[in-house]
Amino acid sequence: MSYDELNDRRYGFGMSSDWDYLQLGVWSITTELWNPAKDIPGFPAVEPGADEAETRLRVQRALLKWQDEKYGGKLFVPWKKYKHPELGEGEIGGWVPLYPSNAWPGEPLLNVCDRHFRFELFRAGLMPDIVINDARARVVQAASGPGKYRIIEVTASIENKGPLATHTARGATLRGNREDVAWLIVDRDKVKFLQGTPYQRLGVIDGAMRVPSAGGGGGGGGPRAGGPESPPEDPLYPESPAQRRFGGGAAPAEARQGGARREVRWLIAVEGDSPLKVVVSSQKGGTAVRDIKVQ
Amino acid sequence: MNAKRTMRTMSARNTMSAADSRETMHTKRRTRMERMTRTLGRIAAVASAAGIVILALATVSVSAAPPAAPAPSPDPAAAPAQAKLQKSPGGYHGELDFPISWKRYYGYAEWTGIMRDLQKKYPALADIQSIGKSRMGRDQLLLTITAKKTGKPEDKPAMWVDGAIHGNEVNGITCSLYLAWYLLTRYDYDAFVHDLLDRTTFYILPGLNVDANDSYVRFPNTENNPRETYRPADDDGDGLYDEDQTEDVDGDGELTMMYVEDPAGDWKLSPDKRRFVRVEDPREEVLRFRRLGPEGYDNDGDGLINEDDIGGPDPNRNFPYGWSIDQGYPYPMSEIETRNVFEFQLAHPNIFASFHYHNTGRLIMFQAPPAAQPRGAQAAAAPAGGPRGQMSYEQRLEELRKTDKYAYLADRQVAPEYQHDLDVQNAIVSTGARILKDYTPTIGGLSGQAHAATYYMLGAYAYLMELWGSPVFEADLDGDGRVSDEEFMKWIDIELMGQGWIAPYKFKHPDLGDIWMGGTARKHIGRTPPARYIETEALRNANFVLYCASQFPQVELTDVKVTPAAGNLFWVEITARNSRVYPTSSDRAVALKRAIMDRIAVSGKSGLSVVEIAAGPTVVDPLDPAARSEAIPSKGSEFRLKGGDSKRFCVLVKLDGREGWVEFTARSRHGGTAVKRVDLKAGRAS
Repeated sequence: MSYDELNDRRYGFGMSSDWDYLQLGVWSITTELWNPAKDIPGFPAVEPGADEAETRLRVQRALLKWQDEKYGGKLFVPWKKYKHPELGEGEIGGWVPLYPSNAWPGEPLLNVCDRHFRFELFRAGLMPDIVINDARARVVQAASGPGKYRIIEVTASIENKGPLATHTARGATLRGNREDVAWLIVDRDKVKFLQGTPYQRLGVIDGAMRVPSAGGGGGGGGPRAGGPESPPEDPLYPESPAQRRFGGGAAPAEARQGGARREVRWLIAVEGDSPLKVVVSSQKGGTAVRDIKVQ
Repeated sequence: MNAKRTMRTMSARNTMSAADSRETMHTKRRTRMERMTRTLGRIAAVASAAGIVILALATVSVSAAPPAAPAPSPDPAAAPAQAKLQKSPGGYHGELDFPISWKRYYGYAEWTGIMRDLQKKYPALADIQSIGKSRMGRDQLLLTITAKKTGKPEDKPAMWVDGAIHGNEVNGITCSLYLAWYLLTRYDYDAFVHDLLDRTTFYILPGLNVDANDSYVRFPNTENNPRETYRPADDDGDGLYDEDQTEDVDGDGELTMMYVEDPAGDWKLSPDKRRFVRVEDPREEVLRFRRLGPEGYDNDGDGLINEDDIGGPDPNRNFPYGWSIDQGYPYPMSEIETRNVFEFQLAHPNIFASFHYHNTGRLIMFQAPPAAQPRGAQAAAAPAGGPRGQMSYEQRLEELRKTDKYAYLADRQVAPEYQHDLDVQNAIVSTGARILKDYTPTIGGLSGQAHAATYYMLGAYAYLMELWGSPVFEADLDGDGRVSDEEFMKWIDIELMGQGWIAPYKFKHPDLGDIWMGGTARKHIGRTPPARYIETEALRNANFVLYCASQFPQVELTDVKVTPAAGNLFWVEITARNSRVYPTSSDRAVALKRAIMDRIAVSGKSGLSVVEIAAGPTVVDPLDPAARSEAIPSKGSEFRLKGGDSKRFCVLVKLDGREGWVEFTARSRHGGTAVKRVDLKAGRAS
C-alpha cells in the first residue's frame, strides 16, 4: 500500500494500525481508551436529550457533579474573568487538560487498565504456536561393503497448536513475510539428500480456531479456513524472488498439505553417526527444535 | 549620462514602443499614436520647464541570496579578473592541473581519495563532508563545489548530483566524479564555468550505495550484482539471510555461467565455439548442455544457486514518494544510505534541481507533473483555445521537429497550474537530447524512486540518467535498434579488440563435478561501459548538467522609466525579468507550499520619499492602458517569475529636495538578488 496524493488525501492515512495490518500483515487494533460515561464504576446512566448536543450537555453536567462529589472538584477549574494581554476581556477555566481524554485517577483508571489487560491477554492466547509432535529417523538400509553411508528416512509431524494461523491472509501476500519452513540439520560434509531438500516449505499453517465465514454457509472459510480439510496452501510467492531471477528448475521441496498439521519426510544417506536435528521455523509461530535418534 | 541625452532617450523609447507594436495598424490609428507620442513629449517638456531633470542611473548587482539574509553582492568591477582565462577553444583548460585517468573504474578508497585530493587542491572552491555512514560503516562523501568568495554554498541555488544508488551502476560514480573534476579544473580557465560557480552550488555524491559500489568494482561480480544496499535479507524464504551468495568458483576474477553436458539439454556450442546457443532442431546430433546457473555453489542445498545473494531492498524504491512495500521493503527510508541523502536534501532547500546517475539504456528520465486525466479522456476533451490546443500531440511534435530534430514533447496533459513545469522540462530535455545525441527523453516513474521524491516532495526539477545502454548504439550494424549475437561478437572483436569475452571452458566444480563455464561477456561490457568509453560519456553528461545549471533562474531589474505625475511627484517603473529557462520556483514547489515567493521592495533616500499607495495594477501612462505596472506598497510585493518571464512594477515618489534616489531590491531564493538604484535630480536642462 502506498499513499496516493490524489485519492488518499481525505483519509487519515499513515495510522499505525493501517501500517501494521496493511504493510506487516499482523492483526492490529487501535483501542481508543476512556469513555467516562462507561468506564467510571457506578456512574449513573444519563437520559438521552432531544438531540446530541443536549445529551452531551447532560453528560457534562453529570460528570461535573461526579467530580465535585468524588474528587473534591480537583478535575475542573471554575471559570473566572481574565484579561488576556492580546485577546482582551474573557473567561478562563474548564476541565484540567489531563482529564477530558484520559482516565480519571483511582478506580476509573484501574477499571480501564484491568479491562484492557484482560483483552490483551486473550489476544496473546490466540497466537500461533508451532510444535513438533513427533520426529523419527528410521534406517532404510544399513551401511555395508566399502560404502560408509546409511540410508535413513526422517519424518516429522508438525502442528500449529495456537488458535490463529501463522500468517493473516493479508500477511501471506506481503514481501517480508515468508512461509514456515522445516530444516533437517546434518553435518554438511556427511550427508547426501536423496529425497527432499535440506529445508522444505510448509506454507502458512492454520490455527486450531475455526474462523466464521463472512459469507455464511457454515463454519470455516473466513480469511483462512481452519481444520484439516482445508485445501493445500498456495505459496507465499507464486515464484520466489530467486526463482524469478534465475528461472524455475530445481527448488526446495514442499510440504503444504493444508490445515493445522504438516507431515515432512526426508530420505538421506548419512555417514557414520552424524546427529540429526529437525528445526521448524515460523516467523509468527516460533521455532521448534527436535534432536532425533536413529532407530 | 547628461540630462539632455536622458530626455531624448525617454522620448525615443516611447516612440519606438508605439511603432514596434503597431506596425500593421490602420493609418488612422497610427496617426493617433503619433499624437500620443507628441503628448508624452509635452509632458516631459513641462517637467523640464518646471526645473526637474530626471536622471535614470542604474547600478545593478546580482547575487544569489535568500530573502532573509542576502549575501554580499559581488561587484563585478571589484572582482579580480579570471586568473587564467582561456579564450581559445583549442587551448589549455586546466585538465593537467589535476591529472586523473578516466580510463578505469575506481573502488571506494580510490574515488574518495580523489575527492579529498580535489578538495585539498581547490580549497577556495570545494568542501568535503560525510553525509553519514553506510550500513558497513563507510562514509558517504559529498563534495560541495562553488566559488566561496561570492557567497556561501547554501545561499546559492544548487544542483544535486548523485551516482550509483544501485551498487553495480558504477559509471554513475565516474560521471559525477568527472563533473566535480571538470568544474574545479576549469574554473580559472573557462569563463562559462567561472560564471556558473560564482552563482551556483553543486552538491556531488559520486557513490551513494558505497558498500555495494566498492564491492562491484573490486570483486568478481556479474553485471547485475551487488545492486541493493547491504541490509540482510532472506530472498529465498528459507529463514536464513544472504546465505547463498555468488562465488568465483574457479578464482579467475569473473563470474560467468555454468553448464553441464547432458544429452537431453537445450544448449550447444555455437559454430565458432565461443558461445552457448539454443538447440533449435531437436533431431540435431550435437554435444548438448544443460544450464546450471550463474557461477557459484548451492550453499543451502535447495537446488538453486546464488538465489539468496547479499543485499536487501532496491534503494531506488526506498524513497517516500510512490513507495510500495513490494519494491521498497521494509519501509520508506529504511536504508541508512538513502535516508542520509534525503535528510541532507531536506536540510538544503537551496537545491533547485537534481541528477541521479543510473544505467542502462541512454535515457533522460525526467520527472513530470501528474497527469490531469487518462490519455483516453484527453482525446475526448475539448481542445483548449489557441493553435496549440487545436493541434494533436503528434502534429505539435512534428511542427517542433521541423527546426529541431532533437525536440521533445511529453505526451501528457497536466492541470493548468502545472503546465509551466511541463513546458520547462520539455525545453530542458530537448536540449539534453541535443547534447547527449543518442539519449532519449522520457517521463520517469514514481514508485519510491529518488528523483520522484526530489520533484514531488521537494519541488526540485529532477532527472534520472540511464547511462550507457549495453553496446546497442555501438554494435548495431544494421541499424535495427538491437544487437544480434553476431553483431555483439563483432563489436567485441573489432572495437574492444577481443577484450571482454570469456570463451567456454571445462572446469571441475567441487560440488557439481565436471562442468563447463564461460560463454559470457566480462564485467564492464553490458551495464557499465568498457573503460575506453568512460570519458566520452562522462563529458557529455557533465555538459548536460552544466547546461541545466546555467538555466537556473536569475532575476534582473531592467528597463527603468521615469514619468512625471504631478508637481514633484514621479512614477518610477522597473521590470523584473528572468531570461533563463527555469522559473524562480517550480509549479510543484508552489503546490507543496514550499516555494518562497520572489519579493521586490523599494526605498527612497536622500531627499526623495516613496509615496504609499495600495498594491495593485496601475496604469502609469493613461494613454497606453496596455502598459500596466504593479504598484509596490511600502511593505514590498511578492511575485513569481516563470522561465523567460518578466513583471513590471512601479512606485510613486516625491522629490523633496533638489535630488534623491530610489532603490529597488528584488530578492529570489533561487533567482538571486538584484538591486537597482535610480537617481533623480531637480535642475534645469542645459
